[in-house]
Amino acid sequence: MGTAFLAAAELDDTLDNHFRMAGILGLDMICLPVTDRLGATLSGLGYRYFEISHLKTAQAKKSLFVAAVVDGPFQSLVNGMGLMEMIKGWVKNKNDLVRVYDREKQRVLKLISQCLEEGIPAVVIADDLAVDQGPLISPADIDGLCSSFYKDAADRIHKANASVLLHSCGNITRLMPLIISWRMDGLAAVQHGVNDLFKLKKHMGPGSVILGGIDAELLEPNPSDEVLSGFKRVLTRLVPGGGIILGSSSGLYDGRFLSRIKEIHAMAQALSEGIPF
Amino acid sequence: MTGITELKTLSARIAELDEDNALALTRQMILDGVDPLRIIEFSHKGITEVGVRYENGIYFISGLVMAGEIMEQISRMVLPLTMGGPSRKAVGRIILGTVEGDIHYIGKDIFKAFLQGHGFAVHDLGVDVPKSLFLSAIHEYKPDIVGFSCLISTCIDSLKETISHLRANVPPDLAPRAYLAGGRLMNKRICDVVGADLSTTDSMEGVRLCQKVMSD
Repeated sequence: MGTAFLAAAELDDTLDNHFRMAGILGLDMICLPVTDRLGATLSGLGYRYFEISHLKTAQAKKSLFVAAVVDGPFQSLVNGMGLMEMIKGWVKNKNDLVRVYDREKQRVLKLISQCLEEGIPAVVIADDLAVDQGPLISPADIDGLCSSFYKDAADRIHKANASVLLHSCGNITRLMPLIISWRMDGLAAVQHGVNDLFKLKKHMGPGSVILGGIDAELLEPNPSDEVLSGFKRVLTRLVPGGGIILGSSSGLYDGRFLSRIKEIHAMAQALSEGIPF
Repeated sequence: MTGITELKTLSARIAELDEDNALALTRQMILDGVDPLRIIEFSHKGITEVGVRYENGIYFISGLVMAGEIMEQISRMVLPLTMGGPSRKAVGRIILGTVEGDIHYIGKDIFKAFLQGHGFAVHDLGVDVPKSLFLSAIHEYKPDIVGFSCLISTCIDSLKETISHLRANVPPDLAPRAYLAGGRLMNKRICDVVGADLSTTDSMEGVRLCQKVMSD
């Protein structure tokens, strides 16, 4: 939830107010982006990072399922270098980039451990590995670069009896064999406009979870029939098998989204009542 | 001097995304007096092959971006040698920007890299660009095409307003040949609603549309 989103309900962007807003919206789960970098901001995207200590406070409230959102090493490199430089660097100086990635990997693994020490039941690793057209670099390269991190992270998180979900923007269909090999428990904030969520869920197996269903287009005040039927399709196909958490595939950074989210929840409620679990 | 072997090698080096050798070969061919237009022509063959490999799933976004980077550097070396020559008609001037209210840049930057790779001169206005900035940029850069990136549906109105503002305020002698709207949301219906001439959801298709506009 972004600063402007909270402001639409006349709330400042504080941890307490995130919980207050969750109450207003009737949420069961809250995702908090965390960082170990003091003063780091996500202001360009309209939402903030929390400090690790906030996780303990959030957990103590016991009112919601709390997930920590941690930028993966790939995303950290993109944040630091810019996407275009990162991509060009990968083609031109692969070895240099691997070295930087490995340093980031150690830092992110430590951050994940710190989150787990706060008793967090789930970690979302946010790594934008794809755009709408598909992966940014080849699946084989992603395997070589990222797999050891993801496997280490999954081990760590599972040993703490927590769950690990992957968030990537874009079309991740071609990355599914890798994601499965990384032993992710689910996918978070995944776009159904460019992915078939039903197929992704099937790939991942019956115990997996998909957090999504609300693509950016649905947040529009008057979405098209196509967008509405896409939303309906996600619910009717995924709800019966279980393992879906209704959530947005983009950050809620705009104050205008507040009234829409309420409408979407009501729509989902109405639709779900007719769907057998 | 034709240098056909070198020219074919240049195409191959670009297709392989081998920046160092492609640039070294270009420098050498310039020194050897190879016709700069032929260098551009064979560079484009290399870029076209990159596009084919991307569409066949052999290359990924990184390939498109890297090919654009190589081509831009080659163009920077070669185009000044062709000033006034016929190749100037093969490229166009494009202004790109993400419309006001939208801060997404990835698709725009990929499109920009590939346009540059195909010899277009691109002036990037960045993200969250107000309509007034598009207008002043048209006055300053006199583009052939104005490209708008719009990824989020809440900014469709902003896109529509921007194009409407430009159509109403750009003097006829500065009017671009086309207003092109890009982004995942785009389709014929939205293209009509916002008043764009063309729309695309794909960088490669976007380049082809721009080439077509320039050749019409």
